[in-house]
Amino acid sequence: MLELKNINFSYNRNSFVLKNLNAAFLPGKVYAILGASGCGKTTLLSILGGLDIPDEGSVLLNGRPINEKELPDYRRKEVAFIFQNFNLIDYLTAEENLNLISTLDALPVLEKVGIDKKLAKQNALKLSGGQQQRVAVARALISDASVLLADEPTGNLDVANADAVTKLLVNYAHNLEDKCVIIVTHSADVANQADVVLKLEGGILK
Amino acid sequence: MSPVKRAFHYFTRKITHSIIMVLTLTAIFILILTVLSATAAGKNYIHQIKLSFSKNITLSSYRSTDVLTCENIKKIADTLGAVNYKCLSNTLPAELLNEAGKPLDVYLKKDILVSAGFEHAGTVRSNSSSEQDELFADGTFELTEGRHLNKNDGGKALIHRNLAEANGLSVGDIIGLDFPGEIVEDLSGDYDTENMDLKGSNVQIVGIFQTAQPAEEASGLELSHLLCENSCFIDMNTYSSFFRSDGSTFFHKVTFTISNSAELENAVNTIQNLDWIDWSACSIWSDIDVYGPAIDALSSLNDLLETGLLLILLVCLLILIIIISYGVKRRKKETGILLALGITPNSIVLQHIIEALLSTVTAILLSIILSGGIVKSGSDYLINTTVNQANENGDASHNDPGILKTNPVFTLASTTIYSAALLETALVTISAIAVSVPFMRKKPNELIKI
Repeated sequence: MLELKNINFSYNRNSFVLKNLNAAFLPGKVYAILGASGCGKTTLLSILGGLDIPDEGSVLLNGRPINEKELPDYRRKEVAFIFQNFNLIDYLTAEENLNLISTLDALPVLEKVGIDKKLAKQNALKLSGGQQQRVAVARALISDASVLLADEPTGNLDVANADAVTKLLVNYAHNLEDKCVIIVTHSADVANQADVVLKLEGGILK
Repeated sequence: MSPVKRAFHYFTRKITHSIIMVLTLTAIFILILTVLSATAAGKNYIHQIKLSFSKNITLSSYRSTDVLTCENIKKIADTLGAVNYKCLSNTLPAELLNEAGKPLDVYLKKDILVSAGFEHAGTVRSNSSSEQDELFADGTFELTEGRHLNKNDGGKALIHRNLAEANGLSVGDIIGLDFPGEIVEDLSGDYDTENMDLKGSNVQIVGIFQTAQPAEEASGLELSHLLCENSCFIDMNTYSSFFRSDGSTFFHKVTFTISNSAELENAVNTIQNLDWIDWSACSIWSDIDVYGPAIDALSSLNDLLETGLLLILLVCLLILIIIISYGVKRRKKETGILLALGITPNSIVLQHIIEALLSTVTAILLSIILSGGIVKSGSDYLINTTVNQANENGDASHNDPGILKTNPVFTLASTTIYSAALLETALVTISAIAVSVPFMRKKPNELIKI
């Protein structure tokens, strides 16, 4: 179980993006986080993913707070991140981007997201936006992380592909009992497929 | 994926960056190699020059008869550990007279210069044994009648056959040696004539010699009293009586031979540090006087290069830090992504180091191919310029350009290449670490800016 306890976070001292935020995320469930643009959804996700450190409060995994020194291990073993801007490594192929974090065969996972062998061998930047996003999803799926964090994972996809990717993420949580998926999204379709829908407003998660 | 694989992919796929790095590192490597090679070549050249030194040191004392006495000569030889020493014959110009006091007819030839007061003068030579005189030893003179002089003789002489025949002299006859005013004035330039007893002396002829093979032709005008045909030899006791009231023998010039020419400098310093020698009346000469300026210039060049190498390394380090820093800053986002994916900071730093080392290895290989020409030209230019400048600044009368104009034999030693490679590898590794490590302290978000 992933918990946030009394999280406060601000980019400057005058205004807090997240205020005394408490939340718990259980394995086997899909969470959708909605909210207006700029309300702090991505910030919340980055704190959950260990990419940022809250000003106050703590992130707990299975009841144990994660300290700063443990963050690299936490990022490598416990969480997988799907970035809104894909963030693929530009000098690697699609397949090699998956090989960054896993020694498993990347091609079957890429095929699941609709990337064939030919595309898999291409340099990541030569793929279209939609293809890059699917590679980013595949990169998260191939990891064995207990928490999958996705920031607008279907933003650049057409309806059919978006639906396929959403199903993959939902199955990831439901079929593997110890996995939890947390999705930041503006899409009602994605939210409808989640088990829990949360709204971030005024720095508080409701 | 290991940092080695990531580094290899980056190096082979980011061609522009890789080419810039390789070219920069090639230039740095060739620069380091040139400096190291020039230093090594300079040291080698100095060593060759020192090995070519003759093993002789000549000590001269014309204004003092107390320095090169037989006892002191032996003392100096023992101090040096000299394998040999040779007392060079003492020489004086003197007017030659017959027993009645009438000046002898001396040999004159065409274009000969006769100085005023030297119309009947010849050169008087003396050594412990006349047979040891250089002119007998090298075959210029040969004894044809009578015997050689020895150290026990007093008032004895050998004269040249020309002098004997021109003046009707033979073995057993008496001749006189005198020192008129003009000759004393001429002597006063080199000798302490005020303390000399130049009243003249009679000597008995015990031998006659002739010229067996002509001496080397002198360049320019010759002086009549210096001609071989006007030479005569007297015993050391008679010679010494002109200088010392007690008549004890001494020499004006001694050449000491040491065992190892590489030790010439130390040997000269040893003699110069002898505090009982009156250096106001003595001088010392060796091959160091000829080649010293060139050796000093080369040594200075080496010192400059060794000091300069440190400065060059610092400048190269700075250049590398700037270039690598530019590259790493451009990859801030990539670093953030890798950190976000759970790649450890150490792995990322290692990747950067390996990328830099791949460029280094490529640069070193390229440099070795190019270095045969560039490094040789650079080293030769530095050393030959230094030596030529030393030649121009040196004393032309002593300067033997033969060895110094010989170009140093340039070889690009493997040890030099290894040293340069090691230095460059160290520079690159330090630069990569110095630039990469600060980024690892940042949070992934700061680098990605999500």
